[in-house]
Amino acid sequence: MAELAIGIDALSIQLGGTSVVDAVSLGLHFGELGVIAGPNGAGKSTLLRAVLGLSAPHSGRISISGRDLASLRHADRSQTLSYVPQTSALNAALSVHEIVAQGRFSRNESRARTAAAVEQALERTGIRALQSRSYLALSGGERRLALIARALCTEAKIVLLDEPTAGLDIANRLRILELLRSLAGENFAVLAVLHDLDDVLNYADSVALMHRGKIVYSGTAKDVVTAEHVRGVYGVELVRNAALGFSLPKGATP
Amino acid sequence: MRTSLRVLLRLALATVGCVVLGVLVGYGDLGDAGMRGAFLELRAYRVATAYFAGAALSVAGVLAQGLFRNPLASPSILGVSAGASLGAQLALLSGAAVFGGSVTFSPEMLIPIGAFGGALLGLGVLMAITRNRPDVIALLLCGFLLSNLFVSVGAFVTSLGQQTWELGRAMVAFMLGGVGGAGPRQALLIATVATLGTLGAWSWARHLDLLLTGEEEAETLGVDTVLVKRWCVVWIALLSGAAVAVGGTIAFVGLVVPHVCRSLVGLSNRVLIPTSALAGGIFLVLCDLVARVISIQGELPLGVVTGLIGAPSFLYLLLRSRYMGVLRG
Repeated sequence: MAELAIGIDALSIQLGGTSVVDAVSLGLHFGELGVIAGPNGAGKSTLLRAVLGLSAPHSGRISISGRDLASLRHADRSQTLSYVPQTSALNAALSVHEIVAQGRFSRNESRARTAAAVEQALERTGIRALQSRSYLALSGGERRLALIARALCTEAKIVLLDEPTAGLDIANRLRILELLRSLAGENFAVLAVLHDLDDVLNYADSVALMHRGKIVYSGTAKDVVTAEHVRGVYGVELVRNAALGFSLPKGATP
Repeated sequence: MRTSLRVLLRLALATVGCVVLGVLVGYGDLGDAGMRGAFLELRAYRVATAYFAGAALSVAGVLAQGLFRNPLASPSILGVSAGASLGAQLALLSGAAVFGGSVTFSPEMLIPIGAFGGALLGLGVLMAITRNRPDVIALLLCGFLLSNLFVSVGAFVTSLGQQTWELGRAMVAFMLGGVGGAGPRQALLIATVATLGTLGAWSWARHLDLLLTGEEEAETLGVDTVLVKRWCVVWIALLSGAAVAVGGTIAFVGLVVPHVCRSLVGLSNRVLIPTSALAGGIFLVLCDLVARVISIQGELPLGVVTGLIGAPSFLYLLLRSRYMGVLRG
């Protein structure tokens, strides 16, 4: 069994007196692509933020590579965990190269070492040609890849992603999912919030299906993403479209 | 040679040029051998005070813009300068009360302490009000309101000061602003604070670069955002407070200079902070020269010159920015 990357034990989070995450327990190992799925407002992003140390837990414990999250200093945390937000709040015209280099902030190292790490991350995500372009001038898919490159540039072996494929066309979506799959193959621990259940079925090793702050089903994608579970959580019927391979709500036309 | 280094070198040369100009130009005949030394000495203090005050205000502007992630932020726009001015006036008033209703005490120490306290208070109130409201309109409106509030209270404090002739004159002179009366103490104070403040600000430059991506992302990249904000607030208050203490309310320097410098050297705060410090110093020495040359019943107050240049520049930047769409509704 691979080493445990993220351990969440009976975690509860309250926001404004309302329970948003309720007694959630979850484990993710290195070499695993884990997905948190569930309807809007289920508490997926809050759970992800808690693992990043951005949401204070009401109770429970989070461990990262066997160490208590609260005991990790800022620099340690950023070198252990990397994060890819759905969209960056960046409002300045930084270049892709500058964005990716931000991943080396917490490392006290030579310029040559930083340059090599940036080069490697750009190469790994296939966006070397974009490195001098302004981040603000990129398409949605390119921006997402730049943020993934920044996360990889940290050299953290645990990568958290908040809806990395949201709003992307099918080519960019598959490109990112394939990248996540290959990262898991390189012994990274990847935890992503995903909405598309087909993507979950095709790419995830493990799935936690959340509903109203709780994990209602967890296990392998095949065991979790079933018509019965989807009906119970989302309130929709799924049918398989043989031609496209997509699962669509009943009555929808492709 | 890299562009940023070239710009820094040119600014260093321009610094030498404007200092020489500032010392040579002005009232008083340098041909009078008996008075030459005194004239040069007075002008040197004046130029040094203007230079470092300009540097302090510009660096405070860079910090404010980085802290609020807003290119339209600056000590004067955010009400920090007005807060510092009110603090200094209160310090003068309370000092006069403690020392028996006259200004026989030395205000050199009281004014900077009051100005620093006022700047810190102004910035603290602004940050508390605009917490979780990062949009530019909320920030500008709150800054405008605070600024007006501080100016109104300052006017009241000045009216209280008028009961004593010396105190009233000291307060009015302070409110008008300017570095005309600067001596060695003022020059030493602002030179020390501006140098330390620039170095202090520079030490947070990389952190501020990451804050461009938002607090949460910066936090995940290893930035202790609470610590960064705390220190930036202290440096903004110190730099603005010291500049107000030696020169009164000098508006718009912290807004216009970083903007111009950003277009020359880019967004990296490691380059932007020293560039703005040099450019801010040059800008204020030149403004002081204009104030000296254009004489209307004595010298033109320095704040008037920076306002006449800064206000149209601010309007231009506002009109050019994407935020104007919001203002137009």
